[in-house]
Amino acid sequence: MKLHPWKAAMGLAAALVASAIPLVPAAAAVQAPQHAMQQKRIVLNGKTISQPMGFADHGTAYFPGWYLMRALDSLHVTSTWDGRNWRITVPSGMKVDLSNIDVGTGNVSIYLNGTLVKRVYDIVDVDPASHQPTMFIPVWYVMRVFDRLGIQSSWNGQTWTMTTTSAGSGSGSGSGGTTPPSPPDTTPQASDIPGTVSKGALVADLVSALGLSVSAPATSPYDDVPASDPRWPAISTAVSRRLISPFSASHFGAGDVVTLQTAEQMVWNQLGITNARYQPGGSLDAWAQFVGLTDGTVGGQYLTQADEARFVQNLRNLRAGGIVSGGVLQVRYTPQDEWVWTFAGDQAPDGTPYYPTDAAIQEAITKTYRFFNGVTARLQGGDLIVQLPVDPDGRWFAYASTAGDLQYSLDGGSTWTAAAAFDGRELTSRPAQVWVKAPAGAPLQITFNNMVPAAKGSVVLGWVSISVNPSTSNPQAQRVYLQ
Amino acid sequence: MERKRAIAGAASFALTAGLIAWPGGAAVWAATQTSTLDLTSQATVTTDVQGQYDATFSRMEQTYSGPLWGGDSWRGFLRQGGRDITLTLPQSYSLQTISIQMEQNAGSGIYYPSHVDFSANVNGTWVQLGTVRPVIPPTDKRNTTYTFRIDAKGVRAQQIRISFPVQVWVFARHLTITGSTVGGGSADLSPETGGSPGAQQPLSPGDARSHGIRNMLLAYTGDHGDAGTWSTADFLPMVMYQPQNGAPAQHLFDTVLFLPYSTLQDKQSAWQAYLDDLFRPGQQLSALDAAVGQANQILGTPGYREKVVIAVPYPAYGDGVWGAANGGSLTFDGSAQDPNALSARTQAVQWYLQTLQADWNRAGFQNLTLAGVYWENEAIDPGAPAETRLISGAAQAAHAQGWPLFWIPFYDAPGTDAWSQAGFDAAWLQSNFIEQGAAADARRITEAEQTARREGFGIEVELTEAVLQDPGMEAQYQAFLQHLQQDGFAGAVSHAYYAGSKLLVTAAQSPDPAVRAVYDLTAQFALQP
Repeated sequence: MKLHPWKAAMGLAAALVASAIPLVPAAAAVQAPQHAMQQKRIVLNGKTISQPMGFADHGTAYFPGWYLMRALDSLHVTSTWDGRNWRITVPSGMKVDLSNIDVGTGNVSIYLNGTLVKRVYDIVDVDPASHQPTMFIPVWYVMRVFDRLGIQSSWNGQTWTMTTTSAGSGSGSGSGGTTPPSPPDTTPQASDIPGTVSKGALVADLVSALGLSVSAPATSPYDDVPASDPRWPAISTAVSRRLISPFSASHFGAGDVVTLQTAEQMVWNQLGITNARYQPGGSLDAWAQFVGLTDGTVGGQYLTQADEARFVQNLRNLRAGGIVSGGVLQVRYTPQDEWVWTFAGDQAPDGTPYYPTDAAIQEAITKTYRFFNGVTARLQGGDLIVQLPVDPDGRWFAYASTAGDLQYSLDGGSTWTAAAAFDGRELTSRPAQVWVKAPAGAPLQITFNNMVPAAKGSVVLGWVSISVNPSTSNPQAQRVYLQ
Repeated sequence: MERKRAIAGAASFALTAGLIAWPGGAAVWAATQTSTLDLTSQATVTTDVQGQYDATFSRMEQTYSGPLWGGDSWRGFLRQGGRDITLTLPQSYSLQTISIQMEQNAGSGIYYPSHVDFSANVNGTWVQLGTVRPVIPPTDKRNTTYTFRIDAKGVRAQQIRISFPVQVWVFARHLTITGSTVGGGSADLSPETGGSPGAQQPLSPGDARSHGIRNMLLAYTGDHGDAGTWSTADFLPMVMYQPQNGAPAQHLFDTVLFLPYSTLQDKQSAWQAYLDDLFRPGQQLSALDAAVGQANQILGTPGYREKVVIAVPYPAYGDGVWGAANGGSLTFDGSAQDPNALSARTQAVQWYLQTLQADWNRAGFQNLTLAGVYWENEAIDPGAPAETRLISGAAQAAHAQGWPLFWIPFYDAPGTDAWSQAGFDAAWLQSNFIEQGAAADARRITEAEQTARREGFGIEVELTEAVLQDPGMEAQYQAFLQHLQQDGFAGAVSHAYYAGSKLLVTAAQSPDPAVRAVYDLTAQFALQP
């Protein structure tokens, strides 16, 4: 069995991951390059670090991935390869720009510090240097990824010149040179694959579902989206808000197929999320599933119209704070950037976070979502009756108040106890749920909280206000910002 | 000194609005109707304290004097029971919403009030519009803001009142009144009712609740070497007045309250060590027993017993594993079934009291009687989990041993107006006058007296090391005692005496007449009928 040449660049841990993963099945291996190879040069901070053989395909330059990893080695940036995923981990002092990600489509995924930032289509060919089948990566996309590491690139057709800023941070490319010409858009077209959704349609639908006000200049820079296109305002808005990237400066890719992940990423970008560790699930896909964005979707290689419809409806429900059916509101906890909305203030005066590990963060945020997503409310005789789930662990507790007193019931409404506020810590028994009742004239406010011994008290993790929608006379929920 | 805890000043605050919409989406709360006017800027405002006015606290408030509306800085309200903010409009309006934003920042002693009452003056009668309570628990340690908002339902009024209790600090801003010129009524509104007049008498030695305590000296033990170790010679001038020129003629402090320094850890071993030190032969309780025996011989009062009160260490939530009792480990960090660690902390208190009882019975003191136990924490901390239930449990545990539970809160401490409901059997109020040093405002003495009278407290007499070192402070101490005497707060009122670490012993034994005079002044005050 032939091992992937990239393995040569990997450390021990990466080798363990990749040791059993050949680039292609041995039987499919080829021994001679299929493309016309030319010697290229990679220059880092003025020093030539390698001279790999590369090729151009449909106008795009391709380099062997192994050499790109070596380039990162020179910057003390480690990366691993497992046959489908290129995972790049930067030193702690190096800034990484994870904003405005547009993953795109492709069979190779590139991650920065655990966050998927780009998908590209590779080309397998034989590296003349190693005579091994090797994965060649389109340089243009890699430059965009390296931009996020503060590595500025220029390209003259033969030499890829990379320059790092002193602090390892910065953005933009092309300093001192030119960027390579964008490759032609070879992405499959939705119109060619029945039932799939195009990039342009998805953007238009999500911009609407996100409630964004749209505006657009009178002219479009994209050859595939004229200003007369009814989707142009939405596309322009999405691009200017950096919810999605055009294929290139002159081509949007409106007809391209997209994936479910593209839709997830647009919502993620709209929320301004840059750090996955604070989001329930801990990664884009897991987050989308956990918060309910992908409920009912089937998935597949490309986003289908049916899945898009479910996704859009899920998004609308989440933004509305819940779903009303038969007069009963099922709360849907509106996702936000949980670093900003939940965790930014969760620290002791000396700066020590109350949730110091990924596991602690995930426990807190997933419990918070589960709690609020378990809340239902209905109107009965002028009262709001809200059912709150009760965590078996009393250290995770609900607190509720309104204007005036309220009542709560531990036995499904048979007997009620009056209280100034409902405090889940005070329960002498812990049924699966508790009912809280208050006059519907004022919002019923609910928080989810956690006892934190290190804080010498409790920490609020989430807040939802339940009131009566004056238009429908049904209960409605609204997540409220903490701090 | 050890037990005088300064209130943390409010530092800088990072503040953001309480409500934010999904990015790009609509605001959480819908905009008011088009006919709605923002009336806030038309109002004139007066603010009154609900409890005892205090000049010192009022002065401290000036540091946080932001506008109630029209700016983002905060208006700070410090203690004094609570506030009534009355807003007068130039004419009557049909009121729609009234709101005020407040902050909670427990680390700086800033808490949401437990509730905010909104009322309006309708045709000369104050009527309730409603009460709003915060949804962030008082135990929360984050820095948050909350907007207390009421729907005034079109009530027509020219005057509005926003009332709230103030435990430590309340910070407020963004007061907003909306309404319209047309419409309005006053249906279904209830007139306000007055509060309870309170006790109206300070705690007297004859009051059954004082359990006969007339003059109770605080004795800190268990740390700080000699300063925290009392000998028979130390106690003798405390239990028997020894005039400079003349023979001893009478007992002085009839009660000694033993309490630990604040260095005592929340560990069973530490609590045990404190008790071990307290009962060690030749010091502390044993020394007091011997001193009282000597005094009885000198004064010819055989059978006289000095009353003793012993502190219960405060079990703080979050202090980790305490120890073991009742066959199990006890942690003050809480658990799934005991989230506030209330059961664990109550069991720890029970263990302590049972151990104290056993130690006391074993000691067999001839001249001492255990009159009660004392709750160490000087406030009912609004930010401490299950604080009132913890105190209630401690009171029950003390009663189970046959002892009352006593308390000495600092001036205007949270819970001052609720000490009896909390479960304490008697309480003495710190005036914290002398601790303010040369700049102390004498109005504080009167204010403490008024609080004591209203709430049924005894009064604590306090002296600091400065009184023994600075003639000006000694004069101030003398004026303090005279002030109490002139106001009828001498012999008719039960007193506790805080004197640092054996300061009165130092004074009694000092060859310096000026220092010695502090002992004589104190004794003469204490022995007034």
